[in-house]
Amino acid sequence: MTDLITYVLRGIPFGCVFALVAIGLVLTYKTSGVFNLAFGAQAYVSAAVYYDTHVRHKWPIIPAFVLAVLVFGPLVGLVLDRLIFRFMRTAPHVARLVAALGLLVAIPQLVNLWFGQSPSFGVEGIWPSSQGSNFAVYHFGDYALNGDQVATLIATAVVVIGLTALFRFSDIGLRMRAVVESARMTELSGINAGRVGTIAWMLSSLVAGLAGVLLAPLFAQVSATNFTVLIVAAIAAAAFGGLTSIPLTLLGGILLGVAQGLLGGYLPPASVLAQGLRPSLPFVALFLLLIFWPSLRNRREVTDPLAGVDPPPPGLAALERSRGLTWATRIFALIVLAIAIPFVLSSNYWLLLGTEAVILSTIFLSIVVITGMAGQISLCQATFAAIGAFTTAQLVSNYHVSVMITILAGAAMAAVVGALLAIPVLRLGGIYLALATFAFALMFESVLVPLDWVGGGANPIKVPRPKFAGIDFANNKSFFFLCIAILAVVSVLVIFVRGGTIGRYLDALRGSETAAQAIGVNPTRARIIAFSLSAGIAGLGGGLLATQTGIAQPADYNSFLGLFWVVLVVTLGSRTVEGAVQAGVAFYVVDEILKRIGINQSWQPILFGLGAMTYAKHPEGILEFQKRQSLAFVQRHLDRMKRRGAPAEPAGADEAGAVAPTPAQPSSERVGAD
Amino acid sequence: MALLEARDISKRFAGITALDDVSLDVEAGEPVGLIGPNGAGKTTFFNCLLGLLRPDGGRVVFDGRNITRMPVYKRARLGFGRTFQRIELFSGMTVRDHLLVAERAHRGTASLWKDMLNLSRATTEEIEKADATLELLGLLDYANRPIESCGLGRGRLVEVGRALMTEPKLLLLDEPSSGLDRVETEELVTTLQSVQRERGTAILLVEHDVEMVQSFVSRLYVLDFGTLIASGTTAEVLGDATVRKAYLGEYV
Amino acid sequence: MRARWLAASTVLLLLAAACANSSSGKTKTTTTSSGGTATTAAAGTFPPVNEPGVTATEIRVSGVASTTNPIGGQYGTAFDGVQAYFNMINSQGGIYGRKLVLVGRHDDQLSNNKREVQAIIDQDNVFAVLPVATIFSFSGASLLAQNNIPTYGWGINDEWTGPPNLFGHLGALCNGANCPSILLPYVAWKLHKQRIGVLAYNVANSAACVDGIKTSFDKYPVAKVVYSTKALSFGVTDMSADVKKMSEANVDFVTTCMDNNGVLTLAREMRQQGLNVPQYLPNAYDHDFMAKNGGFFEGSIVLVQESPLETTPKFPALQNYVTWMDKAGYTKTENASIGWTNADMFVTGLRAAGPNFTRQKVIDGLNRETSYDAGGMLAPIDWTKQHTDLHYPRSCGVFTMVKAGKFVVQWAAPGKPFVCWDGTPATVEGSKPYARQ
Repeated sequence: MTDLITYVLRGIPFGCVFALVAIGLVLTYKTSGVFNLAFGAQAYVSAAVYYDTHVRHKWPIIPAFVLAVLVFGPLVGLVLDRLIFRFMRTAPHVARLVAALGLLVAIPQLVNLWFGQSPSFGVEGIWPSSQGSNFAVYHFGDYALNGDQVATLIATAVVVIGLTALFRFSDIGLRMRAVVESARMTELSGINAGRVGTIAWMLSSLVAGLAGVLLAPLFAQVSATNFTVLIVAAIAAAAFGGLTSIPLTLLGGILLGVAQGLLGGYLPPASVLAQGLRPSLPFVALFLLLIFWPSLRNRREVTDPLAGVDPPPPGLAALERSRGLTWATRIFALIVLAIAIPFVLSSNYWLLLGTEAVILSTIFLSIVVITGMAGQISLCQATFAAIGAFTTAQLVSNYHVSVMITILAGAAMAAVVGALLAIPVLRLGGIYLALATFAFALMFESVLVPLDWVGGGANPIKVPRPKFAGIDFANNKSFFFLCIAILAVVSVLVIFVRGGTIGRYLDALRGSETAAQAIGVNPTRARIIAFSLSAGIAGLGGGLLATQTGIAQPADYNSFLGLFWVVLVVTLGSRTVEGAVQAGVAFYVVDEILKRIGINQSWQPILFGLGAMTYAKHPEGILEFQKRQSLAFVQRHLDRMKRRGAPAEPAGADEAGAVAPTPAQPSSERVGAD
Repeated sequence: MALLEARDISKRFAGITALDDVSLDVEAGEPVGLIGPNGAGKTTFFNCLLGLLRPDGGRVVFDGRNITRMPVYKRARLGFGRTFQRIELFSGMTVRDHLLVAERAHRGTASLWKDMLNLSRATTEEIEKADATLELLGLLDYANRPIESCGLGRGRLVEVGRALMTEPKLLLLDEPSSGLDRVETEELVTTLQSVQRERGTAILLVEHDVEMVQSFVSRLYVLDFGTLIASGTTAEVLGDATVRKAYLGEYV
Repeated sequence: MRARWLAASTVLLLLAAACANSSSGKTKTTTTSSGGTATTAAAGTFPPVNEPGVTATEIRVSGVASTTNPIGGQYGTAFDGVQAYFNMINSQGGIYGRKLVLVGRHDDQLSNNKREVQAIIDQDNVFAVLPVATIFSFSGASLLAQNNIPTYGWGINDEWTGPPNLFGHLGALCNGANCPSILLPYVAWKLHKQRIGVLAYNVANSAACVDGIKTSFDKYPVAKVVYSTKALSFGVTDMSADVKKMSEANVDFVTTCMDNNGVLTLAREMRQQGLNVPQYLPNAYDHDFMAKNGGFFEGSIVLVQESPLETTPKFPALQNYVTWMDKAGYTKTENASIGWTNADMFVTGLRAAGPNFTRQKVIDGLNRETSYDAGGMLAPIDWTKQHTDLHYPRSCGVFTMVKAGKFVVQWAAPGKPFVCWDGTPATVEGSKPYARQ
């Protein structure tokens, strides 16, 4: 019994760590509608400032704390709100998630540019205890706390009490929540939504800064990655609080910490169960919570009643092109290919990049299916790719099945897993779906990948190239063409599906789920099919990637990479096959361009982050937007030429940057968008 | 046995009783109206009939089957069609596409394999069927236009057409004349009347516009604060003093 | 209009955006700066060589390291070690009248090794590849093996084992349960410790290391593993339950297969719960880390795989290392010193190949060595066998103890920091380790 109490008590300080971070997440979500995965990056800013001033420059604790937390914290929030999130108050929650992901990548690089990248050992907290021999430990009988833990406990208590009071008893709390629900309506009531939003961001950033400084001593060095890992684990506690209740989030965090302590205490330490469950508990908890917790299960995302004020998103630009223009575009694309392919074939290096770009484009097609067509954000595409890759690797090495067959088997396996996952998860929708898929990705990574029969254990499994129809694809050129062929087949498949019944159903569901149901479309079935197809495509890509590199290495499919894939594709354009291909190519080629121009390493993630910001304004994707603009531009000039040629016939209204084509165009016949 | 029998439908939202034991019948092929002041619960009632909301009490029987717990899309397959007060169209699709997808959904034949092999393109029969409905609604000229280019009046008609493609036995129309001017409303009424005649569809109409209601429905229910306060033929109901006071004020 | 230009430039920039994990490093051309005039032999003194990367005046090499990584490792300093060595050689006139030039410092960012290696082969026009300092996976190894390019690096990945042209600083590497080693049991025996606790992450490499430890103590039962777990999560983990259990099991010596974050968290937890026992730290030879955190590791043993800077007196090779690193102002990290030894391997091969050198001759030159130790900087490697022999009967290690934040070499001899065993001893007590430099 005393053992039980000890384990419970020992789990509490760690639970407070989770709780503090989770409270920060919940606070941000509640007051600004952003599920801020970049919270860790914000925490990192304050931690870096504190380290620099207190540890490197030997400032005393209090001035360093004031600067790092009380000044820099809200300052970061102010900047984020004024520059970015102010423009996103009416954007869908998922768009804000994407923006946060961009920040997650960009902010640490900005900090590193400022502070440099030298190692930062000897992290100190705010409790007046130093490292090594003066490490302050407080004993309460058998139970001990160190100074940083005491600070965390106190800070957590203060934050919880303060925030709960704020939301329950103050005006500003109510206003913040109102602005999140509908900024427009709030303004109609005479409240300055902008100012409220800014205060919200400053407040949540203050908590981020506090968390950063308090939790930095948990790690040997100050680094953004450490905080991000912590965030990801804390999401479960946030889900426990339903993403709204601060006290419940605190409870959730503590329960999580205690549960980890109990698992550590009672599971046999060398057992497989311990090995699987202890590291993955937060993710398993998150997954189960999202699926089974009633208040989350039935929660529909709060939709702004005035959202209808926004014009509907425009249709695909390609569908509005005249036939002639479509052919012109296609011929142009063929010309580009005709130039690009020999260039790629000219050197082994470009061949490697080219092949990987083609494979990545194939994987990105899976995102076109699930996000572009079904309108859902799935953050576990890398996991499906991994399933494809590991299935391929295991079948090849254990059963010596022909490689091409194993790749197809990998795709099938991923599709099956996708369908199974979709059943409990699709009902969630919006940000909860995104979180559930992310939780799945993390679970897979921490529980299944380390197992020998999945990820191959300490030695990743080698995967040879396919050999069939008399061709040995160990030849890189042959393999490149094989990948192109596969990409072409999958693209055509995706186009057919998009134009087919399921594609139509998904279009309808995206347009209006209610109306679609009212005509008899079964939303769950259509989406499960889309999810499964998307998983299968990703699995196919994963298998190809494994055989391309020659080994199935888990690092190629890690869950954060999956996040970035999604962000890249939705930013560039998730509605069309073209968007996927361009994203896949951009991933590699532009990298090269930057290398040759000689731009500093750190700017790439920063640019990526910036790009992600555009998603809210252009949910159809930057490329689609550009396509539409250029189409309008070309169309306008064609009209002008026509008008000069046939003065008797007014060619209809010219609208600069027109969203819809003019009725006089006789050619808006349905031509396939590629 | 009426086509639609709703019995004792009740719905509460956190302390507010939106519907209190509302019962309503619609016979096959019959046009029925449901009127009442704003906030009376008309749309809530519709949503309960359609399955978008689950009533806290009562039952809905359609064509002899108890559909109270049936999911929305299944009810649609049984023969419900609906238009929406706040127009719900499928952006990015053309007018004809709206009808085509409804036709497909009605037949319920969705096969991924056929899709992948490009065997799911719209057949000539389907197109002809859609065009026939478009013609009935006067929308044939706009068949290929993207839905965003249609105004509200036309959009409403598209909604009606979409609903019709599912060959409904009962059409639920939620304030179809809202946002339409006099001319458009009259056109709508004419169209609805021909639909009802030619296809024998029962219609349950929620409306504000009393004149429209008068010219169209044979029976009327009146809802006020979630309770039915009157029901009967159009003439009876509109002549009833309670109704006039509750709904029409002192207007004669 | 302005919006359009903004959008267009965003597109251009955005086309430039790749995710953090995908980008690869810049290629910087670094030329040696040996100060003053370089001694170039007159053309004709040495025969022309028709090999890639060799001109009349230069021998070019390029390398790849995981410079950008999330755990704060200093792998990129390997390039510094190579450069310092090249500075030394070039100041003596170079090799066969040619300067040694490190032309590229590729960054594989953990997962792009194959791509960077392909870039080196295709674009850098080099004779050999060094250093290679990548942590997760050396996926470019197959390319280097296929092209028979002399390659030298930090040999901690399995891919170094096998091909005769890949020279890692440890030779063939044995991982996991099949690999008993005498090193850790020796330490336990020397410190009179009998109850061992082992902690690892559930990540594959970490977990395999635990198996290796158990096998070692099975073979050399001077102590018993009384607690072991592979269930800790990389990144952030609560070890309080594990420490409590180790206390209850009276563990007197803890070893981990974890990085610096993990061992520090463990040390703090141990201090907090009053479990004041030393640790065995196979990855912690980092002066900055230990200077700041030494208080938690007083009395712990840190294993070093090459001659530590604390060796006294310094034998010539070590002295050169210190001198030339200081001259260039480089930090003397563990990776830097391994980079130095990689350069030494290369030059040894070059010298053995003679003035008419080719890649094959350089490879063969080093492969004739039966006891190569980079002038004493490394444990000796028998290159005639240790490309493939996982159980070569010789083990060596440098054991340092942490005292007041500094590393103090143990159980060896002045100027000879390695403790070595020849053959495979049957017991620890009966074994005869000897010291060597």
